[in-house]
Amino acid sequence: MIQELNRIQQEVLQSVGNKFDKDLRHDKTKELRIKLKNAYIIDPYSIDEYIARDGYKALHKVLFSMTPDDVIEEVKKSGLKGRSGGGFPTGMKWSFVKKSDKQHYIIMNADEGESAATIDGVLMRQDPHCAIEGMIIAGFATGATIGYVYIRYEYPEAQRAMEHAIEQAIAKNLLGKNIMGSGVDFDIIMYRGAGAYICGEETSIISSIEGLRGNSKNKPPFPAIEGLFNKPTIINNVETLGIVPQILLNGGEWFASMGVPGSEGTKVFTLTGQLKEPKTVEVPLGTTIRELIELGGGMREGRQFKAFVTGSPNITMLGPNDIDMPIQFDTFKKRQVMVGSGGTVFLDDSTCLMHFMHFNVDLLAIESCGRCTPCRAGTRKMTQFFEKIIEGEATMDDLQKMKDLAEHMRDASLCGLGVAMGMTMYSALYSFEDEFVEHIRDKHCRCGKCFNEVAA
Amino acid sequence: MEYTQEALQTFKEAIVPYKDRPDGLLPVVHIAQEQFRCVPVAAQKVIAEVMNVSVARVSGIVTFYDYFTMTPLGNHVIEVCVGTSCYMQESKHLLAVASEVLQVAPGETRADGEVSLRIGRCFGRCEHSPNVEIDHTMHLHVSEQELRQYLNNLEDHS
Repeated sequence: MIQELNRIQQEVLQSVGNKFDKDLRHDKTKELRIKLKNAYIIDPYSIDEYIARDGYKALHKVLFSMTPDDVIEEVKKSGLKGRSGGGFPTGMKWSFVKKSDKQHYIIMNADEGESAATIDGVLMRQDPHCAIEGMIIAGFATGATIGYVYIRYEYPEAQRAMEHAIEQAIAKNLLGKNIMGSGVDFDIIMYRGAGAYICGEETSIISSIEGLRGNSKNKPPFPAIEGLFNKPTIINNVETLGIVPQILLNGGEWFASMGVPGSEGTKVFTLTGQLKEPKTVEVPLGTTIRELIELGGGMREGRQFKAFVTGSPNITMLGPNDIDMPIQFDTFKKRQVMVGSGGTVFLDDSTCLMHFMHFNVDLLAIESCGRCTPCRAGTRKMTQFFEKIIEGEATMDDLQKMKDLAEHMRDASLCGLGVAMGMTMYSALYSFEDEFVEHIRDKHCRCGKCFNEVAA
Repeated sequence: MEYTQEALQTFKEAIVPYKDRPDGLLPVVHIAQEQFRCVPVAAQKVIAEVMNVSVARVSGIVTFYDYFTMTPLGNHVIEVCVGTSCYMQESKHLLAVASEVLQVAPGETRADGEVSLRIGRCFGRCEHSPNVEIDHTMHLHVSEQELRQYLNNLEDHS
């Protein structure tokens, strides 16, 4: 089978001309494209071109020369952490699965609900095979034979690319029964969501596939022990699974050599907001916010950088004083800021933070699944609080209450949606307490946007 | 709205292959939404019968997920993204413009059943904001003028 892969590779390389030599990096000095190495270069509808870029070689290596424990060990060595927000070490997550003769599952979280992130979308549209290969490897490592791709409704184009890639992989016996003659089986089922932000949360995805409302579930038991249909289930994001083949092919140390200790490897970011050139870039972790702004062409003409916001609507933020802070899991955690899924929003000094917060909190109130009280009631209270600020009716007493509420939500909510609220308020007040006080005590809005009428 | 026995029968036949799948409920509701442009109570009853679950459970799903509706969507569906990235590019203004041109409130379907104006939550094209989807065709970097033009073309042809 490896001969077959090599033959296809040679054939494509001979016929493709200089297509693969394209260098699409926005800035040759800072960008490091490894997850995006194929994006915008290969034809996403051609499995042969993926194979020509060393595709499915990692799968061959894994199936014929490694044990599941070797695979987990290698992933642990790479230091790879989940790329969808939580930042949980992937190798460790896989090792939680106790091998048994029960059915095991892998779920690829392709419900990229963060509304400023398009990392998974780009990967699935431009390089669908990398995530499929990563998923099969994850299945081998954890003993799963069925994989679900939970893709959001808003991504029909990505869904078409993935469905086509799955068909091609099956036709070449790289997926399905007895893969490459190794005796390993793995099937992938495409599963379409229906427009719920909460269904990017892992236990909500499980509820959704089980045919329930997308409510999050209590943890423990963690999905690795009791997940989909009460069977062991590993849930990983597209970006995480997409890099797995390259880690296995080049070794964990290769991946760990990029980035900084504790935050190994690269991260794809979607730079949006008030930048000159919003775009999707991949940089090693440890890159500073200032460098990201430069990649995005700088702030708009005549405007000053105000805030770097990660995630959305579950936002956390850093202010102007943090512009040289490196993006790392540990430094961010100290400030209660999430590295997040990679969706980032840059705000300049023309944006009123109160309006921006109101917009996001309001969205969270709509998207809260409603199962636990801290989140259901808390997000609504929070929305009302920001409405009061904007109308000029909030008091300093209200602010204190909201600080307390945010802490309760952080401690008592069932899942990340409510928990993040504590971090949102903490990070906002850390950098922008003066702007809150200005609004509440002095009834002054430095952007001149508040106190007229309620935000539309 | 009334649905003929025939339409419901066609629907039933389409969903029977899913009846033993433990993951079958959401796909089946998707089929209903596509066939009827909504998931009416009549279809919910068929689903409950075929999938052997309560109507309440089906109804719970229909009301939870944003893309399922209980009243039929219009012949044309316009979706203006108000996700964070598009919001930062003033897409709420685009939503207001669409609402004014089409004479329908955001999130609603016009009384004549011709158009629905939906509030989008991110199509994953954030670097090209603001984005508008019209009848499943994505338009990127949409200006107010372009939006007016798209909407006027739509009305001319309907």
